[in-house]
Amino acid sequence: MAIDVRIFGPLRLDSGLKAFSIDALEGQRRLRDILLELGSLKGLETLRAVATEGLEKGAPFIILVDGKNCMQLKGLDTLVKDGQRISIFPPSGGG
Amino acid sequence: MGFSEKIRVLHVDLSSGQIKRQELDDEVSRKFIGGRGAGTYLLATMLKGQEDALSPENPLIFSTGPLTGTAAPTGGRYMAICKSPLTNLVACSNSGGQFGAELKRTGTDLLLITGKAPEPVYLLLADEKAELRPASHLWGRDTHFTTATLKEELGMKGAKVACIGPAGENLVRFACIINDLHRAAGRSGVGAVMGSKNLKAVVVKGSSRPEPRDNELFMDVVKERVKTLQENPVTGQGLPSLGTKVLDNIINEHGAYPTRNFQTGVFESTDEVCGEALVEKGYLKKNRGCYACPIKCARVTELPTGAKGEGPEYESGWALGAAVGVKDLIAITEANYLCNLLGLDTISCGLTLACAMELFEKGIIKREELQGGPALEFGSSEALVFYTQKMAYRDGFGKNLAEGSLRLAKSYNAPELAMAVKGQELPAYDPRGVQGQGLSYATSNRGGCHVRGYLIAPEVLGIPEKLDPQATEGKAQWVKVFQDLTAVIDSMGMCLFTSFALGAEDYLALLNAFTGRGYTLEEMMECGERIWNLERALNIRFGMSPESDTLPERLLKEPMPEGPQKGNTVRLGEMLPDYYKLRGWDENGVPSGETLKRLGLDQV
Repeated sequence: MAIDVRIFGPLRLDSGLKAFSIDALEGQRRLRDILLELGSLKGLETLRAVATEGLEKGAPFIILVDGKNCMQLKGLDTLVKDGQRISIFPPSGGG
Repeated sequence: MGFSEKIRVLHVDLSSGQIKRQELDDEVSRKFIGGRGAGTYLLATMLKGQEDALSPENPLIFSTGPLTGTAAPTGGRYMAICKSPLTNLVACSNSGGQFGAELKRTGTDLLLITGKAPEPVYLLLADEKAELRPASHLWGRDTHFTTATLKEELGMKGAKVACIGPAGENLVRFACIINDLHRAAGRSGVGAVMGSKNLKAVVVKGSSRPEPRDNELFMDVVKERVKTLQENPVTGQGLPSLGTKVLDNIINEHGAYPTRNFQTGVFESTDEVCGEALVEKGYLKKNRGCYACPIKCARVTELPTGAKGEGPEYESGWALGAAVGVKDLIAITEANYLCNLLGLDTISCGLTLACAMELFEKGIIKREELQGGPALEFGSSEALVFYTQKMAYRDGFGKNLAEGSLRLAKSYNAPELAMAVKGQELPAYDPRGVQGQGLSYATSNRGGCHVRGYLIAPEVLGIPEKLDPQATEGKAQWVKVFQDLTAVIDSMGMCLFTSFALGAEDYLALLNAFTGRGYTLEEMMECGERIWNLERALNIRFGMSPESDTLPERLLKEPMPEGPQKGNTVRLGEMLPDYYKLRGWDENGVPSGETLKRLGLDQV
């Protein structure tokens, strides 16, 4: 039982983490709890603040579950299931 | 230099060699702000409509905004404006670097170039001095050689150069103007128009900084906004750290990263070519900023081959990468350097090649037509670098490519394979995954373009708030507001990237503090709306049919084949009527007499 996690942008450069799996436990986990767990890893500490303070309006972290922004799902209460993929980006812009 | 409300024009007629100074009425700066707005206004007073874009009748305008050359953050932008040889519509290309600010310091707000020089020339502007000089010794040379030679010959410390490469000389329809070696007024073929005039370069050196109406107030407003930009996570951290290439993975994970001529929205090799890879592979050496920029998103790079330059940025890296299926970051970067040296727009270059590759793989372009060149196969680094060079010289099959994707595809009776809107190639977001961006593409006044209304900000990045990218309701209003505000920012002389952190009120504060014009927010936004409608009316005068407010058939009818956007198409029909209504245009997309009158455009 596993959930794929992909880390991007400056978060990847800071943590040296790119792609890994985490345990899906009972088959699904709340996104907030996953972020709390990831926030204990070196370089990913800011994810802890995201989990506790929420996704800021204005220039938010971009968190996709299977390519869909969690804000179009149930935000940090989204249930992520076994086999799904989470992609995490710090606030970004460009063009 | 004291504060000047009038727009100071330097008119250089290349046919007669006459140079004169004139001013535009106060009313023009008030109504059109400057930069993009004032330059387009001037263009509208000069063209009847049917003139050939590559004829001496088409003027070329370098237009700065009121904040260009000031302490305003990113206040170094200029626009190159003319009729486009790619789209036959308004060409209006923005560039950064140092050139625009230096042009302003010569005491000129707007440089108007008309006619055609009998022999290649360059223009030297040094404060009051304005001279045309022979440039035959530079004709045929690349942009870096040209820039270095002019600086050395003139021995003028701090002079800035904007020039064309061989692509502009050879009238490649998407040739760009390169300033400060690495910055481009990239799109719509403004470099070809410069080439058609036998104008190789413009060199500027000035000594008078523009003064605000109220210096103390202006500097206070500037300081606050610089702080906002520095503290914002996007403009203070994200863009400085990875540049615009932070987007490769975001857009790919979203399933909207156009791959192999928009055949899919997921590129399997994104990890090889993304912004993170540019850092991890050690190619990124440092960041560089344009004039007065606290963001500094430009990438200074060096390859293991020893080649050095700037880029790739997101759009260029995508156009020369995923769009042509190339996963070799060295080849992508080399092709990017080549585009800068030869003076080619990277987006149109990449997408025209992508179109040719699809035509080749479908058997429509035959191997024997390539005149000994490598097979036009998706993923071929060799083809990418080879044909980039060839198209700048119109050599061999490069002659066909130099016409751009739509003319190329039409010549093979397959116009549906050109991923272009109104003849200009689309940028790096597949609108099947971002509906509002689809409307923005379809209605952009210069055809396929992402910097006329960047709906990616709200629809993907969540700035200023997160919208559902698959919703169509309400998108027309967002597109209109973004298009109008962008016209304001472009006309002020600032970089669009500031809008990741600043809002309309911030631009209003900066504009009013510098000019003392006392615009209300409504008045400022109406300036943006006026500029948008002026461009629209001018395009209609140029012969544009509103039916061209559409997208390539593939994006409207072929469902995305895979990834997070699987099954989606662009539902343009759900948004376009709302958009026309909000704009005060009739059901055919023509601005009503009432709308033009309200905006004071009925006489234009």
